[in-house]
Amino acid sequence: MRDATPDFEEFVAARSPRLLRMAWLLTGDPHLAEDLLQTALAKVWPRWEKISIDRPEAYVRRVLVNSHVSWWRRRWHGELPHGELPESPVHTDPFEDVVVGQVVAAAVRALPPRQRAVVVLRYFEDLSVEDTAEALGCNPGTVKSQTHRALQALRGKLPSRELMLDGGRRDGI
Amino acid sequence: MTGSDGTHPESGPLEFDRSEFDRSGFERPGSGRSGGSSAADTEEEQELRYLLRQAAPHLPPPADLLDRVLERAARTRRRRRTAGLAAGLTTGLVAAALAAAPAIAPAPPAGVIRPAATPPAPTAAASPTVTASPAPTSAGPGGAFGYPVRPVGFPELGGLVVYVPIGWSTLLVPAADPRRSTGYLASQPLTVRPSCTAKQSACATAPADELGEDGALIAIGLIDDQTLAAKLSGTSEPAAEAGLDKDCFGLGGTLALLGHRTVAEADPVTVVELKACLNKPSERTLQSVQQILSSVRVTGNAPAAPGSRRG
Repeated sequence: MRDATPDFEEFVAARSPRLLRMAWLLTGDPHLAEDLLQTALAKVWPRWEKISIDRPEAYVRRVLVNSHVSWWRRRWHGELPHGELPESPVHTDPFEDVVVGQVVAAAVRALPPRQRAVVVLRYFEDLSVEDTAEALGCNPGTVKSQTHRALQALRGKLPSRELMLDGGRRDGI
Repeated sequence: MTGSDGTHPESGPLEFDRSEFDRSGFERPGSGRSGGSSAADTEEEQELRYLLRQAAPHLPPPADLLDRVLERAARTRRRRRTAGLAAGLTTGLVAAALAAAPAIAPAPPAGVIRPAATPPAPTAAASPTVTASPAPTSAGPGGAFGYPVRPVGFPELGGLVVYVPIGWSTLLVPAADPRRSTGYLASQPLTVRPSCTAKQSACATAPADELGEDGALIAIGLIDDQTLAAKLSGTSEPAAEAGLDKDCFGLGGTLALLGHRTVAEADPVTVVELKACLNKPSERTLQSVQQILSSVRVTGNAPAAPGSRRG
C-alpha cells in the first residue's frame, strides 16, 4: 500500500473528528458516518497533491456531501425517511440531552438530502452562503432557497435551546 | 455534550472543541468559514446552529482511519481496473475486443496461445506481463463435479483457486495492483493482444472468435469496494441470470449470468464476482458455471505458471 503523504496524514488526524461529526449529521448513524468519511477521504487521497494546495477541507466537505447524496439516491445505506419525528423531549431524566440530540438529528435527517446538506454546511460547518454554494456545486440563490425551505421544515420540530440549557444546568454539565 | 450556561457557542463558555475550528492549516486565508454566522442571523438560525452542535456527538475516529482510507483507495483503484477488465462481459472491454475482433479472428495460429506457449514477448518496458493460470495439476475432484476438473490458481488475484473443467482455457490479466487483476475462464481458446499495454483497459483477452454454441466466457474478479462487499457478504447463491448486454450479445452470447461468492468474511470482507457470457449453454455448461462459482476458494499456495493454458 502506498504511504500517505505527511500532509494528508496531518489533515486526516486534525480534521477527521470534525468531519466525522458532520458525517454523523448527514447520516444519523455513527457507522455510516465513519463509512462516509472513509469514502470521502479515499476519493480525495488520489488527488491530494493537487487539492492540498488550495482549500483541501472545502474539497473534502464537497466530496463528503456529494457522496452522501449519492448514497441517498442509491439507497445503499438503508436509511428510511422518518414519517413521524420523535416527540419533543420532556426533561425528566439524565439522558435528556441525548434525547434532545436524537430529536435534532431526526429532524435534520427528515430533510431531503440537499436541504440537509445545506443545513449542515451553513449551520454546523458555519459556511457562508457562497461557500456552501461552492461546496454543493450550485448557485447562492439555490442555497438561500434551500435554506429557507429547510428552516420552514424544521420549524416547530426542534426543541428549544432554553430547554436544552435548562437540562444542561440541572445535570451540571 | 458540552455547554451549560446559555452563552452562544461561538462566543462564550459553551465550548465545542475549539481546536476543530482551527482550520488555518487547511483553508485558504479569507475563505471558508468567514461568512457563516453573522449578526444578520435570525434567532432561529442561531438556535439551529447551537442545536446542531449540541446534537452531533464527538465520535472518536478509529485509530487506524488513515490505513483504512488508504486501503479503500487502493481497493477502489483495483476495482475500477477490474471492472474495466471484467467489462469484457459487461462494458467497454468486450466492445473494444470486438472492435479488434477482425484483427484477432484471422490471426495466425501464433496469436492463440497454446498450452505450452509462453506469453507474447514484451514489446516495451511498459507492456503487460500477462501470465496465465497454471497447467492442470491434477484431475481434480472429478467425483464431486461429475466430470474431470483441474484446480486453477490465481495467486495474483488474492490467491483465488477455482476448479474448471478439463479442456477449458484460463488466463490471468494482471494489474499493477494484484487484487485488481481479472481471471478469465473460457470453454474455448483465449487470446491476448500482443501489443496491449497496461494502460489499455481493452487489451486483455477475448475468445479467439465469437462464442461457439455452448461456449462460455467467464470473468472473475474481486469486489474491492468494501461497502458493496459488506453488502454482499455471506453471499453463496448460485449465479443468476443477468441482463444480456450488448457486449455479451456481440460475442454471440445468448445468456449472461452474474454471481458472487464470499471467500473471506472479515479482514477485509472479500467477495468474488463472476460474470459469465454463454451461447446457448447446455445443462452441463450451466452446471459448470455454477460449480466454478461454488468452487472458488482462497489459498496462499496457489500455483501459477506463465502463459495462457488450455488444460
